[in-house]
Amino acid sequence: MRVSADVDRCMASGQCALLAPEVFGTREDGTVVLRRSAADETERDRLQDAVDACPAAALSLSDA
Amino acid sequence: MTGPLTTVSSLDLSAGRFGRSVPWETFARLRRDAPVCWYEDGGCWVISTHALVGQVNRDFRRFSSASGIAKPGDPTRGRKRVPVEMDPPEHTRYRSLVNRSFAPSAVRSLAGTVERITGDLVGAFRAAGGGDLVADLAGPIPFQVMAHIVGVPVTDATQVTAWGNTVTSNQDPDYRPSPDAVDRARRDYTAYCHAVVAERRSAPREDDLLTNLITYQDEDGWRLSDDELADYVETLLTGGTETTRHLIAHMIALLAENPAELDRYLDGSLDADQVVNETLRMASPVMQHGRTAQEDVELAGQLIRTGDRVTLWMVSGNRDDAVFDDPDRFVAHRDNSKLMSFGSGGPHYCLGAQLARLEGRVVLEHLRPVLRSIEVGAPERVWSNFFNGVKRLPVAIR
Repeated sequence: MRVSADVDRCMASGQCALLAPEVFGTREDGTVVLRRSAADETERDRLQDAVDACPAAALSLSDA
Repeated sequence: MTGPLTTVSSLDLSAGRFGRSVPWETFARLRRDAPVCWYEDGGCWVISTHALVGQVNRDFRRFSSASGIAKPGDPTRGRKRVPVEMDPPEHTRYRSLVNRSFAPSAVRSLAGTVERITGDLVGAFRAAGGGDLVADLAGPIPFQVMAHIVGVPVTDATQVTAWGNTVTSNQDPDYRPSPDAVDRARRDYTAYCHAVVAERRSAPREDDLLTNLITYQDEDGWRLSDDELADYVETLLTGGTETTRHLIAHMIALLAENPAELDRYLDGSLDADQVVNETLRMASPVMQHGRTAQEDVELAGQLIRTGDRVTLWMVSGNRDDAVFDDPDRFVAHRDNSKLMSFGSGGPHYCLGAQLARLEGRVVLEHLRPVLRSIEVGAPERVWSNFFNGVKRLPVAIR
């Protein structure tokens, strides 16, 4: 499973980093930075929560 | 008024002005002529375009929440309210303790509770042939849901709602009949929140948000103080009730004013989510919040100085035609991905956004069978330049 983050859409709410800090971090300005882009199936629910919580719809998961 | 907005004496953003209506034309002119405008009477900058509201909201380093967001910090408090009056990294620590409880998955698990509460209240409303939508539905539904989450008795609704009405930002004579009414409400509400914490400390509950906050300890042994715990209780109770109440009331009022859109919801062309989102955009229950500049910042040709108060008007950004076509029309199928009703950037994005949407959807769906046969009276507005609030909304079910 691959995780992606569109920094241009990001509005620095930090919700992803609070819900799944093992994958999502924040820069100085609060925008998202991916700690890694690969994730396994066991992480799906937790990462989907972060994706759903993003107010800017800047995150996505894909089966790749 | 004609001509460019050059004098600030023509600008009236007082609570009383909003008690009549939201000054939509004023915001349109500000967006066009003075998107960063010094408002003398308010002692603050007024930021009104979608782009600039979002930009400043995201810029939490230069525009801080630490001096209060509704008005300059109450000097008698002497400490910052948790977590709305904090900036990262301090804010992050406090926000992280509650975030998971309001994550999309947590909100989905509350759906049954929201359905039950809404079903009971809508059932009673229908049986009574209607009433005051605010007192009978729009207020009680979010309160009872929040009471469930925090773990306070539903019977506390009247008192807690009254305190919330008085302490949140307004100049409404119904809610603030005298200056000492505000001080008294603040004192009593705080005492109540402390009592809730004390009760929970003595009788902890399983799987309980407040119990988890009380027992939380980080790896250095740091725990939340009683003041901080009481702040959480108050923020959750108020944040979850003052706001969603207005969303629900505005939604019913807007559907009554837009019968073609109501038809499209009833025939299935629109879903509840779309109606809720368009209501959020049109009504913006939280119209603005303030920040304090931490350094001199040049913005849209204006110089904002260190210490200046800056107010960000989401209610105006939500009507910006640079982002939303025909912004003053209720068009529920539009792309609302850029609505700013829950915040437009930065870490203070509404904790309860998903929960608010769920409550809006559920009440709409429960009212669906009677939406064609209701008569909605004129909303009575709250005198507030913070909330776009409805005090009373008479609804008769024919």
